[in-house]
Amino acid sequence: MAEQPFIQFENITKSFGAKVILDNLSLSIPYKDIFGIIGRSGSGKTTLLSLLVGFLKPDKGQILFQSRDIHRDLQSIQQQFGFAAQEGSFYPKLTVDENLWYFGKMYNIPTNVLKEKIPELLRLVELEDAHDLIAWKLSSGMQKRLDIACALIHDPKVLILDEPTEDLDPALRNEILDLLHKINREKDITIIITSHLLDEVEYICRDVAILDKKKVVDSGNINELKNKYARYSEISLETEDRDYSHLIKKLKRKKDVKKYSIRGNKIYIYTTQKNEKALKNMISLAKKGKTKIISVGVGKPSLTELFEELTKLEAKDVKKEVENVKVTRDNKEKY
Amino acid sequence: MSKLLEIIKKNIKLLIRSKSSALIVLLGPLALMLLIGLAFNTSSLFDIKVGTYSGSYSELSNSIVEKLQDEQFKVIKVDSEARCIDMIKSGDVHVCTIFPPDLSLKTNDKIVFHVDKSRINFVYIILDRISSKIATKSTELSTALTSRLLTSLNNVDTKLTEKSGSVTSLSASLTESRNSVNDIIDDLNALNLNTTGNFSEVDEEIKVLEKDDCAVDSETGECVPNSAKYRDLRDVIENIEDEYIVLVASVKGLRDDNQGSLLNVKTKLNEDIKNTKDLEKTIKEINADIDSIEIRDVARIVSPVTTEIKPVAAESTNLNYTFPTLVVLVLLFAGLLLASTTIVQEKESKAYFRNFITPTPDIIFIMGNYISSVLIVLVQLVIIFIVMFGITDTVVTDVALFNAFIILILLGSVFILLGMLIGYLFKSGETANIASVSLGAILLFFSNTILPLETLPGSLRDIVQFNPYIQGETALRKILLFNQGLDAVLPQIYTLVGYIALLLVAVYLLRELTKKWFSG
Repeated sequence: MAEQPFIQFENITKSFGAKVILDNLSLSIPYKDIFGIIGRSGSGKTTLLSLLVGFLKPDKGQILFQSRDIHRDLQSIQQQFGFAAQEGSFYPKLTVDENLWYFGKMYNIPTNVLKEKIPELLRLVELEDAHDLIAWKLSSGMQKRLDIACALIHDPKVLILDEPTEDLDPALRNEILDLLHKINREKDITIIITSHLLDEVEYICRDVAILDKKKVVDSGNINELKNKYARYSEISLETEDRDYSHLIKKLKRKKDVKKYSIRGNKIYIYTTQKNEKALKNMISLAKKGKTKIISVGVGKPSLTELFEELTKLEAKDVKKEVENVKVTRDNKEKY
Repeated sequence: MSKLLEIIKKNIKLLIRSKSSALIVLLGPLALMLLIGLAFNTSSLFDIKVGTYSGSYSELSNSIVEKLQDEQFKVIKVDSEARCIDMIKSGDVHVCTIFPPDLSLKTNDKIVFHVDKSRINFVYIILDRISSKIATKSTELSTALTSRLLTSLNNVDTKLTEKSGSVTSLSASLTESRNSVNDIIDDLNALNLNTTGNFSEVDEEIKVLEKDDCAVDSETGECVPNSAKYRDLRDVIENIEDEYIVLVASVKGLRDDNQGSLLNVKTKLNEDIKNTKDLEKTIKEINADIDSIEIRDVARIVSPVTTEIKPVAAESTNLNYTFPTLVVLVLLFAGLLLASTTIVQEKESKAYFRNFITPTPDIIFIMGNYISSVLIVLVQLVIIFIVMFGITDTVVTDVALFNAFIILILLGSVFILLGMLIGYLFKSGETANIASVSLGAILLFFSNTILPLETLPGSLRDIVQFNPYIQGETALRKILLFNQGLDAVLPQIYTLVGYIALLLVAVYLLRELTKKWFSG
């Protein structure tokens, strides 16, 4: 099973009118993976997911699920997919139980099975105590868990999550990510996630596909991709005063330093020098600034760096891109 | 089936949990019917304000004003005609009645009404009520006048009958007198006044007597008459002859004199007899004429043709008459708004997308939404019927009630499917509501409710006949007001079923289309 692609997009083309969204896209998603799909706004992530759940039909190509064309046997294959959208797909005025019951019925689950299934699922997503609460009264984290429970009610083999941690605070994000790990572990289920929070994707996903210019630029194991595309060493430094202006002046004069960025309290420096040499040089430069170094690190570039590399975006562009995504979503909600 | 039930259960739960929707859906028709029931459960109009003006109110105009003043009409006397007309424009009075100065039966003046014709549905009702009030007064006056005429006529008839005998007697007397005159004339004519008498014969006789009574004259030998004796006699006789001649002449003169007068009298008498006979004949003719008047009853003369309006439906209140229209109206807006709101809420719901990706055919969702709306509308209808039967003493047979519900479900289905179509067509609740109300208004305006269809041009009327509102209302009126069976409303049933089939297809296609909009 693991040898064969669990889900395979073969030469998929999809347009809306004259606008081509996906152009001859091919992608394989392995079984029981947590698979991340990242890409810029408008790169076709949501379209890709809509094609996968059968909501849209491709203009060209086919999507195979366990070697079966999903659009030829849509209803039985839809039974194998669970979907949780960013905003949550449930009825706010129904209780947690009622939502699960209703969607269970929509997935043809017999009454006796549902009666056992719902408490089990509520335990999994830790909503047992909230089973009789009206959904809109739940906290945003609980609503997200309810949405995931709704997506799992029919025991799908694939759980698809579109921006699952969007609009959640960091604590809730971690909660949801841990839940997804738990589901992946306990339910023998393949999880596909789209997210603009690349750190999160890096944290939770083993494999990733990077969408750009209507195609998958590359996909595969994150570490393998990093090795494949790592052209620079990444040095991270954190100083006591977190004032990196003096260091930046010096970095600008160094030919081997290709770029740098400040993320959080640290400065990330990318250099063509080998890891050890580069680390020594950076510590020496930082010390000249008469400030105390608190932490230092060396490693492979992050997924963000990888994404930048593959889509040729600078870090600030990535940030802008993320903001664009947020604005687009806010507007969607408004209208 | 299980999915369908779940969708219906879910829709009803969502509706009930949305307190405002539940309130509108369940209490709306109840409140509507109670209010309308209280307002319209009567066959009268109330508080109609009538402005009146006259340069000089006469007894007649005052009596008409009094007649108008009752619980229905409030009469306001206004100081000028122009002011009265202004009061109509400002809505202070509904109609303005102008009485000519010193209105009386002897004059031929007209009472003028000023009305606001823009109140199309109201003005003719008021005019009808006022005209009927004035007609009542007019009838009273006619009755009094006719009664007087009839009394006079009866008196004339009686008196003529009484005097008819006298005229006959007079005629007989005159005839008798004329006959007497004739007799007199005849008698007078029979008088022989040509005789001269036989005085010469008397003289001869006297001569004979004288001769015989003579003494022979010795001298002559002749017999000498006793002349003295006979001379005297002869003198007497001559005197008598003279007197006789005088008498005859006098009688003759008298006869000649009176014969002319008698002839005149006779002529006069003949004329009088003729006139009297003519009079007698005329009296008889007048009597016959009067006797030939068969109708002597005043009421029948005043209103020789009596009319009676018999309603084809049982006599009832305004509410009963308007009930079919009212139910269709409630159904129209409830169906359109409920269905469109349900669909828009579903579309706007977070769960819409999840429903799309479940292995549930679209037709199940369509049917689920449709049946949910039908059930809610049914609840509303049951409430309306219960309230209707509660506040009125309307009696509807079970069969009629069953038939009415069949029509209402068909009609409700048409409106619900139209509402669903709007729901799928428009993206937001606001625009869907506006579209629903607009469509409802169009269907309402092109029906008999606001203005009769007969006011529309023929070609447009032919099209408008297919308005489902009209079809449903027509069928309901036949069933509820005229107690007709379903066979009498088959054309309407076929039309509504046709609409339902077409709309189902349209709703299905539009739902498919919304998937594309949604994904786009």
